[in-house]
Amino acid sequence: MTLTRREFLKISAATVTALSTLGSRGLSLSNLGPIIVGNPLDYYPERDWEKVYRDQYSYDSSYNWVCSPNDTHCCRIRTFVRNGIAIRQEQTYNYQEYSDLYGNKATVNWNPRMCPKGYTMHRRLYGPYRLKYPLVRKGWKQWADDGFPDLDIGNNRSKYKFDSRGTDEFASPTWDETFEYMAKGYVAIAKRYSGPEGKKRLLDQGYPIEMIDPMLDPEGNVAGTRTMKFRGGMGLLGVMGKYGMYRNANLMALLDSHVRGVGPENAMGARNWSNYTWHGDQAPGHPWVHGLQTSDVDFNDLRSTKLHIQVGKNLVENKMPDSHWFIESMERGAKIVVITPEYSPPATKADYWIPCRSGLGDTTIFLGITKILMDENKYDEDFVKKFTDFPLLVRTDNLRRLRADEVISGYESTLDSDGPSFKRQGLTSEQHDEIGDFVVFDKNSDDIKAITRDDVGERMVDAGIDPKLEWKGDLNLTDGSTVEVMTLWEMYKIHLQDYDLDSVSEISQSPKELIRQLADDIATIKPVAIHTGEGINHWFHATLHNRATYLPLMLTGNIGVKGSGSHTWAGNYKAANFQGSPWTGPGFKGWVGEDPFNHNLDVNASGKDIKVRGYFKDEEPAYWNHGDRPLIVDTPKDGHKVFTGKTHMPTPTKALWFNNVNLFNNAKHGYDMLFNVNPLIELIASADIEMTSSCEYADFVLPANTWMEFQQPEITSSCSNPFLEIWGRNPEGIKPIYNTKDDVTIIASFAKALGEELGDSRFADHWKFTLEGKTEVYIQRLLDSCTTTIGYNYEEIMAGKYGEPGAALMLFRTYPRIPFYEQVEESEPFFTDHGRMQAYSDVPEAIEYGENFIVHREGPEATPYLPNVIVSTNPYIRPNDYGIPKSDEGWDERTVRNIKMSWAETKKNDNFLWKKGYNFYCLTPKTRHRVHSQWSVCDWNLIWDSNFGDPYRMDKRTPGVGEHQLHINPQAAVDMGINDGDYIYVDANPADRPYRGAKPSDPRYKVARLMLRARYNPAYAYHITMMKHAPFVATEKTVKAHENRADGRALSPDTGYQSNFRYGSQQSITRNWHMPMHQTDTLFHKKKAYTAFMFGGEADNHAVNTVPKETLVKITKAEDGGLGGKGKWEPATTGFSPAGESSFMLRYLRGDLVKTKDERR
Amino acid sequence: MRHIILMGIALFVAGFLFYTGIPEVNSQSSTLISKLVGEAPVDDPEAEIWKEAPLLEVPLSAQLITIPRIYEANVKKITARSVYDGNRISFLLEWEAPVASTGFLKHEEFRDAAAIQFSTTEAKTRFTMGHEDLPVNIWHWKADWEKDLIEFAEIEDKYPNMINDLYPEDLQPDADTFLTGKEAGNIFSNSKIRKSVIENLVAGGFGTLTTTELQDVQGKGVYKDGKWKVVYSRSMSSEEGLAKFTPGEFQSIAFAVWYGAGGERDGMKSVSSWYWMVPEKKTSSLIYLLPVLSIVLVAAGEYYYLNKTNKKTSKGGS
Repeated sequence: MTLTRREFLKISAATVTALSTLGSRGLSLSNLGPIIVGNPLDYYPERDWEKVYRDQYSYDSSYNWVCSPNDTHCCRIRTFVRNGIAIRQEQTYNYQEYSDLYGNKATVNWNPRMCPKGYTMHRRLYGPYRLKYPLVRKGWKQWADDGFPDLDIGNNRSKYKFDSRGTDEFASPTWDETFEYMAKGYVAIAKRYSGPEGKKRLLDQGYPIEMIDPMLDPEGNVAGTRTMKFRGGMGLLGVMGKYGMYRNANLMALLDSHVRGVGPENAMGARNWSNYTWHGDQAPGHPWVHGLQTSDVDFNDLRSTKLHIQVGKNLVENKMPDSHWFIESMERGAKIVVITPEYSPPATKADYWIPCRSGLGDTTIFLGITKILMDENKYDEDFVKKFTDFPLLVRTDNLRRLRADEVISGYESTLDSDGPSFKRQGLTSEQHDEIGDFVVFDKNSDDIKAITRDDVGERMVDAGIDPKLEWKGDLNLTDGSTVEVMTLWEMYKIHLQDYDLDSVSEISQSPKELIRQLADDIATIKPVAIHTGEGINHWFHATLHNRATYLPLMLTGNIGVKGSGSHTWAGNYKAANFQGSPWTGPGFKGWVGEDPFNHNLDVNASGKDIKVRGYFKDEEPAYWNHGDRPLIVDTPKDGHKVFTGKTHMPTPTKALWFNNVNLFNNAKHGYDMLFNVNPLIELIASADIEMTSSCEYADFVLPANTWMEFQQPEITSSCSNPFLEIWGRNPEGIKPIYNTKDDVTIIASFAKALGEELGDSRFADHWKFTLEGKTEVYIQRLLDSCTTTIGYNYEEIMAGKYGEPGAALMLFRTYPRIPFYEQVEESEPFFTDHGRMQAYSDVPEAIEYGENFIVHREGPEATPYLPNVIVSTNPYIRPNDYGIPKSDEGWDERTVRNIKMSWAETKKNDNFLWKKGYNFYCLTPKTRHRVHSQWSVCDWNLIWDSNFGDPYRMDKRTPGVGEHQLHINPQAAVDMGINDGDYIYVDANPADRPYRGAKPSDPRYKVARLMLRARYNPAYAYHITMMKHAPFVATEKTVKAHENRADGRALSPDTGYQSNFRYGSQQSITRNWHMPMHQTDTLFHKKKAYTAFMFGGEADNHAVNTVPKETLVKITKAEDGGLGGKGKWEPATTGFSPAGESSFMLRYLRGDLVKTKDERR
Repeated sequence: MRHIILMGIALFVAGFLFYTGIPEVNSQSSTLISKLVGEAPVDDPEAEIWKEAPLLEVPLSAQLITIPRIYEANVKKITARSVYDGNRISFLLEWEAPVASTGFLKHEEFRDAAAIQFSTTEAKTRFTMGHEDLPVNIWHWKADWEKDLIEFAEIEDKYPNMINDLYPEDLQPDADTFLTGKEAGNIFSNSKIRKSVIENLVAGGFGTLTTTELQDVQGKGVYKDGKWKVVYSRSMSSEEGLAKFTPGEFQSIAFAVWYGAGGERDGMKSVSSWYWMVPEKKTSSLIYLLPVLSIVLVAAGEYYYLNKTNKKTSKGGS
């Protein structure tokens, strides 16, 4: 801006001044007086420049879409478009208009909803890492062009680079060519692994027979399609495009019918890989307590809590758009308690913070509090009797609950066929026969009494039962034997003797007085809510911790009412939102499980009329993640022992297609997957929007549209809010900017190509409406058939009948949604076998593994003590150690070795790794500025993400604009000679990490060995380090790049993949752990997405959770942190950083910089 | 008695100097005389003609009056010369700088710079950038602008390894809209609107520094052997309100230097107070004798007064 002199004078004249001057003839010193400029808001010179800003904010149009990463929020975002380009994002500010069929509306307090990730989404949209067209790996293409020769012959796997994918190059075929190649590949693999030949191949490749068995059709013949694995990355994030992968998996039954010439009765579909459980997001203990996959609430329920306890959860950083509800609970007078090993962001908001030992020592806090509540009669006896398993009788001989038919001659169940179990919860007679009824000692009759799963709450009272909590005695059984039984309450009094306050304080390393305070608070404040997250669920014994959090709540009646409960937050997993039922129709399964032999091609068909048949079978990726093997251990005592239940048993993996997930990046033990496991997979396809390491190590790369570009409608919802969201194909929206397709269109187009390959139009029919550009037909069917959406019409929702066009409120029973409202308010059974919340499990596996009681166990790796030890002297815990000696260092052996010890004895037994110098825990929480690995491409977010964000890359060792860092206690670092900001190596157990068989002489070793920056952080105790999880991993190409490029960037030359590390990744130090308690065939619980029950495994519900925090690391200095590797990292020398504080900074920290008047006197 | 006389003389001289604005430090070098030459150099600090011009040595002190300030001057003096040819007037400033700083793109680097300040009115104003009624005209040379003339510096030149995902110009046809400074016509953001390496500004006190629409000051700076030499040149007359130069007429002049390597920018600078400059004119030297005459007259007056007082005292006795 320039001014003429005249204008300048005009401005000056208008400026209000108060000159302290003696006039032009005064002393010279008077000229030194300051000129006081008036209020620029009263008058400001020439405001033309403001137009520049108005121009910047001007736009031609705007449209709304849903930001749907795996963060549970699914915020609707308004994008402003200018010259056809999305230029910025804003919140929509209209949640108060969202309503349901009945006119209920959401509160305005939900606004605003969007975090800095949605804010930069357009930067990803146009960013340099977008996938622009399909890619096929040249080696794979050559294999196809050569007619798919047997990879087990000669060195074919090497010839076609299946064992060195990371060094191969890509060709760029058209979409049609891509689908044609993929179709041929799927046919070839289905043929290769079908029948006796297929079985022989798999056995020759070393797979155990247990993995072949699940490939058998009803007639005992092997179906090759069972080796095909599909994963829709966190499918709820896009029910059409992501969960659509499972619809595709079901379609593979049609492929099987062609390949093996079988009919629908014997056809076998592919396998669906889980999301929630494999991420370690689930609280695996939840189904063990109440039978439900997960307990969580709409976030506005937080405002009702009066005692808010966060355990291993960070609601400040990791619930950005909705964390204000937590803050609001403070404003409404709630007491805040935080239990974490580190002084965490929520700890800074807490009334008191209970520090604890890393590795779930805090499980004992809840056991200790439970003991206090029981010992001091600070429990709600009425609630305990009505809704928990404490009154049920347990046999002391076999540790099973006493069943009514065991003790009552000629017992006939009184479970009403019109009662809630059968009518509303979908219990079958067969299931009831298997679980039976249970027994209490009735106070009214002073005798034992049978009790059914409907006899809960007021129904129990109506049945005339008043169970005693304290009773034990001998009973004569119908088989003539006598057995000692006691109430679970009596057993717990014995069990909790190991968890007195002194012991708990020692085990958890938490202050006694604070544990005591929390016990008193739980006893006296209502409602109490406990929130947990990955800080718990990412540990091997999370199951026990999850179960333990419920104990105090069960005793105090803090379940099923507003502001109460124990909830877990990690991932938007809730397919259950699209809940099917006998009265509404198949719901979610009607979409993914439509019978490919019996399509409904009527555009007007109701969702309830869709024929469903699940030819697919769900499976945990954890097995692929474990060397593509289940948990089978050759034990000294029990020999060949299979710990993986049949309902969980994986099949060999030969074709793998995933979308919306950076699968290899996020795989624990990731380099083991890349170098040891994936070479045996013969087709890998990754659909994504950006180039990831998963793409770089794939055979096919399928470029997808972003949420902002969708050309067909998509639908999602959330586990933490009540909003139903549909978006896409917006006439005001931007069009795809590259040669990309919607996820759902990619899948449908492949199916069509497969049908053309096989000459069968049914493949295309399976995706008829998507191929016709009418995916909304499938959405309407979904809405028709779910308990939560029935009655909604797609067109009406899109027309804005319920507020924002495309949005509505889910038809939950309550607003906010409160788990177990029906149980407590209406006396319906919980989803357990006995209908009560359970503090005890009597399934055979739990008894065998010593986890029938909720007990404390040390982890199989991350402990200073004997791995996996059960800390208890309870005589009713009788685990099997299978004869595995304490000295065994094998990872699977440690996993299954169940040794019971007192705490005093436990302390005497060391962990071999700890003794070898692997004595640092490594916590790996979610980042604040990324969603797992998403946004690892966006420069702005990466700059915010660490203390080493630097777009100028002044230190060209920095792999990109950011650098990953390990937070470490300053004293611990000093003791190891590590300066703040230095590069360090972080190594875990060398026996299996960074990958099995790793040797320093292997050129891939340095690619896989983790190197990152050290950052001093006094919030972490001496042996605790922290590294945020899931940044983009180093690959062979990125390492080669940064070692050779002039600018030092870790940028793959041909794929354009940008690593966030110089070397290695978080996954260099992690591995998969096959938790036995996650693999039972006997756990009775509710199905995820249908009102029915089941036993055993179900993906995302009762299945192996991965546990990346279960690791110990050794840390060594690699390079100086200063520019170019010389000297100290400059910010550490300023006097303002931890352990380097100047005297001024120390005064500031002490609060000495400001004095009150009194202090000054 | 003698002391009283000397004190009186000193006070008078001080008052006179203050009134005229001539610095007290050294009356012999308080005026920069611009020598009339055949052709005033526009952009040549090494021109032979400069040797003919009288040199004014100007001590600088740290700017302490307002924030941001420095407490010790990095550049403790400059020398100034001036010539004019009837149409143009030029100034040459020279000062020692152990390190030449010509960049201004990195956060941590600051440019060398030097400014000449002129009063724009006959009335006296403050050397601290004038005040609102009596503004000043400032000619500000910047070492980075000098460098930009050779090759415009981009951020990438300073940070060759930098990464940026995308700029608006990668997408938008009207990308300049998003370059706020450039679009608003900020001379710092848009080198194309610069007419020379010297910015012409006016100010009416701290915080009012304003680029003038008329950018008619030219010049050039050269760094050699640890020393900057900078030429400033403009026509004798310019728009109303800017400095004007008339042979024989005194003009207030002040100087400021920024030493970039010392982190100097904005108010962190070394400054002088007002000096005089005058384009020489073949005229009576009476004007230079006036102070001497004043002193003589005052001395004579005081002598007369004291003499008279002494006489009265003698008459009265004691």
